[in-house]
Amino acid sequence: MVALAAQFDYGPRPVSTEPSEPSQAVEEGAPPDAPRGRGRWWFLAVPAVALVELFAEWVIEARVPKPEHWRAAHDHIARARREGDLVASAPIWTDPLARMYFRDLIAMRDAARPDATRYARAWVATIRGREHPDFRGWREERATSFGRVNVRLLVNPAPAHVLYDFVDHVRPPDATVERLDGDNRRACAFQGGNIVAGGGLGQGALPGPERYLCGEAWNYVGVTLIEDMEHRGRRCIWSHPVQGGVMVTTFENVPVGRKLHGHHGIAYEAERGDDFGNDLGGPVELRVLVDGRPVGASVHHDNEGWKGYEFDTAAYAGTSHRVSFEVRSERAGMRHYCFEGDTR
Amino acid sequence: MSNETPSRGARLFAALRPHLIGLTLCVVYVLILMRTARYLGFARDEGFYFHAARTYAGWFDAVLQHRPDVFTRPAVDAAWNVNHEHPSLMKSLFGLSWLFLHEKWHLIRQESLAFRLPGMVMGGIGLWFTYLFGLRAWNHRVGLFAALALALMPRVFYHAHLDCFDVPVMTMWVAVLYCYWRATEGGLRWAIATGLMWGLALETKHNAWFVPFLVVAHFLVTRGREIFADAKGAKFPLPLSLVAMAVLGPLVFVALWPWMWFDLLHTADGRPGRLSEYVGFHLNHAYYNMEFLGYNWFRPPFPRTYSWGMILFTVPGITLLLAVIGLALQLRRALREATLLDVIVDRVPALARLRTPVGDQRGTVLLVCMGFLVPLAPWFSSKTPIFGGTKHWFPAYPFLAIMAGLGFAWVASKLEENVRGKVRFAWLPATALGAVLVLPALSQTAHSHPFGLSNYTPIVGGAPGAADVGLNRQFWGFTTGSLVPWFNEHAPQGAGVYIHDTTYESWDMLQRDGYLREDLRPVWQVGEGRYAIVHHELHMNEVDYQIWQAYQSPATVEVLTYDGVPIVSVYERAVTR
Repeated sequence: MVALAAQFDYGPRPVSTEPSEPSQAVEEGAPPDAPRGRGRWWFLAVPAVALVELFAEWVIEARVPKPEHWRAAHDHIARARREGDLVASAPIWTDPLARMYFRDLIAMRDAARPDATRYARAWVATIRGREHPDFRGWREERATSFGRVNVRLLVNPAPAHVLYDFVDHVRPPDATVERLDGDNRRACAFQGGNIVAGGGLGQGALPGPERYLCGEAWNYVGVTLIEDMEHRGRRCIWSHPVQGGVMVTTFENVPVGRKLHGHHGIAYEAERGDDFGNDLGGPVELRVLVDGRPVGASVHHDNEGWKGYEFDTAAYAGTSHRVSFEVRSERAGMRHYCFEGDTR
Repeated sequence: MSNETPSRGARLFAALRPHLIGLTLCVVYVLILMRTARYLGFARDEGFYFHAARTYAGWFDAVLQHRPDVFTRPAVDAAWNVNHEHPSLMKSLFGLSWLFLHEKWHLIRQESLAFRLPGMVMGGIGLWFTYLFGLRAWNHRVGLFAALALALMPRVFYHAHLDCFDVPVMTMWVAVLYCYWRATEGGLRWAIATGLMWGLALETKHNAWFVPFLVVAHFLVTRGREIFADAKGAKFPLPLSLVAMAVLGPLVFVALWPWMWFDLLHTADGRPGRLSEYVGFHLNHAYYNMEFLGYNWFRPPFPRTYSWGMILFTVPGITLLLAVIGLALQLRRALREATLLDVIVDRVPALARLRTPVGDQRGTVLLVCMGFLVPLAPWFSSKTPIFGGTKHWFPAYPFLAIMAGLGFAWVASKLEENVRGKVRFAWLPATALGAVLVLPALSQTAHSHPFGLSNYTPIVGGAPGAADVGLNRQFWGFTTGSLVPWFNEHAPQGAGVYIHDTTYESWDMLQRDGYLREDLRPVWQVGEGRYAIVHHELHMNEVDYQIWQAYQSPATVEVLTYDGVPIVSVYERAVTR
């Protein structure tokens, strides 16, 4: 059998089957003579790298903020903050920690803010010297360190004065919702006290306890939170477009300022498309009307993320009006669409 | 120098010494894994395999009881249909370990440990083979350092705890290549071992499909000159090890997987059979999500830098540096081993003087290089899913570790040259050097536990640096295990917990093992329970916002952190009185 195998095989290779002695250098690496002079020690750079790596690990661990640092930061902010100040943390991945240590200082509207333009000041608990993207261009008024947590008071160079936040008024009698299908105009009934059910990965935004019901389970208008394309949570008004129709949300007696400012977006998994590269729906148009007259429109396309818009309403400034938001799309499927806005 | 022939005992000891060292490495590693396992929660896939292993164990038990119908198709399918997208070898071992060590003999109290033990043993055997490869190909120093470098990769250490297949298939790769390499010495024994081992590898995980590409490529590159010469004479002999792989590999694969015993190639009505279903599952696998450099990758094209980046960020830096040194030292030899180049060089006389024949013609260095590169090759394509993090190219790591061993041996030889005659104990300089060079990996590995998937090396700034640049925080939801003390202390009686990425089987195992209070219930909708948890992965942020909506609050009551980086958040529903 072995003889047969030997004939069939390609044949053994010349080898030395005995293991080398431990003291033998690796074949290619052994120089013929021992080196001389200081240069012969340069290989010690290798263990030096090991020690540097060890030290670096120790430094990383030593720089981690301790719970008492966060708690001291909380106490400082709680004492010093004014009504309307925003409390946040940087870098952005520390957000769950901020929502634990500063839980009494961060409301839902602040955690899921559309942007930070309305805030005059922000207390930002900062670690690792990082910035939060919402506060680029803000001036640091002061900073106080608590261990590894540095609390910075940042001042907005041009804070907006918000007159009316539409997200806060999505309920009767402030708002009404209609679904237009051609000439058919149908009022959507408001329902409060709903159980917030469902959830889980890939399930998208959950409807809140209050909503205007317009048809299928997804066809409602109400306050929800979507995950935007940067994976941030945005509090906004869910208004999934309907095929061949228009969703209209109207707010009465809105104090109007010089601008109507807002954002719109589509929940992450619906906007990004599926695993096979298929886009899931068409662009969504948001049209804003004051007393029935258009003041502006913005079209949201896939990959635009949390998209801002701002319309000039100076002609109506200082008075109260009826403001309507119309949402439509040529391809309305999987448009987990949401908008927010305010007058300022 | 004595001319005495060593005694039989001395020869036996010399022959067994490498295996005694390999066995020691294996046993110590397994004991450490067993000792540290209880702090590690259960990964999603472990939950699936607990279930599959129990089902398979039931079938084995029926075999042992000589039940007459056990080999019939209904009986086989009833047991082996479960989780048939993966081969059965490891799940069978998990199940047998559980059946005997926990259920029948009561040697292991925790069920989970009984399930996990075969995976741990495979991790230990992986060190053993790595040591042997380094020893036989070079020397004890190379082998020992390589085994330690492999053991002390934080990701390998994490996965070595699990009842999963990634560390076992790593071991199978190095075992197959070791047998193949030994088979190049000629003879039947190692060739048959190669075939059998590849069959076992196929039965471990589908990564093993790539092994033939490696060995065929190695054969062609290292024997190019002879192949050309033989081809001219119309001879096309093959290495026996390849023949053994082709014959024994599929036989072992099918023999050990009862699900494959029926409808292997096609069904009775002519539709594609089970082999085709199995292959199709992996060729058309879903992509899933994975964060890399701040972006959630969920469909092709995936970044080609992913595998290299993750190696850089997760394998201790000193191991990488030594591997680069080792590779640099061996590069010339690798080129000399590639006799396929001779076919070109022979035609260009000017180049011929650059090539000198290599003494050992087994192509050892090329095999180590290929052993490293081929498992990584799928990620040279931007179409290959990246959801598995580093675990999918674990088979590359023993060879990376061997290169590190070569680097270490060279640095040690330099040190010894410089201190020769200046130290009392000749073994001391290299031992001290080895200790220094192993220390960062040891420290990182110890510190990584039980957050192995959240651990990153100082090259990227550790876990906080990884969070800054946007690297995946974890996957599989196993970190729920680290919250057990918190829930045991804080949750009221009978509280429901939305357990997010953790499977029921994994939660259940925490309770069966006696770690988690039995009154706590898992719930499946965020609004259902008293508590909800979120495992922080970039694409899972939507679950955070669902909970904010359900609880009408963004406040967390507990955040499990690793080096200050949030791993799991716990939310508690406000209780109205």
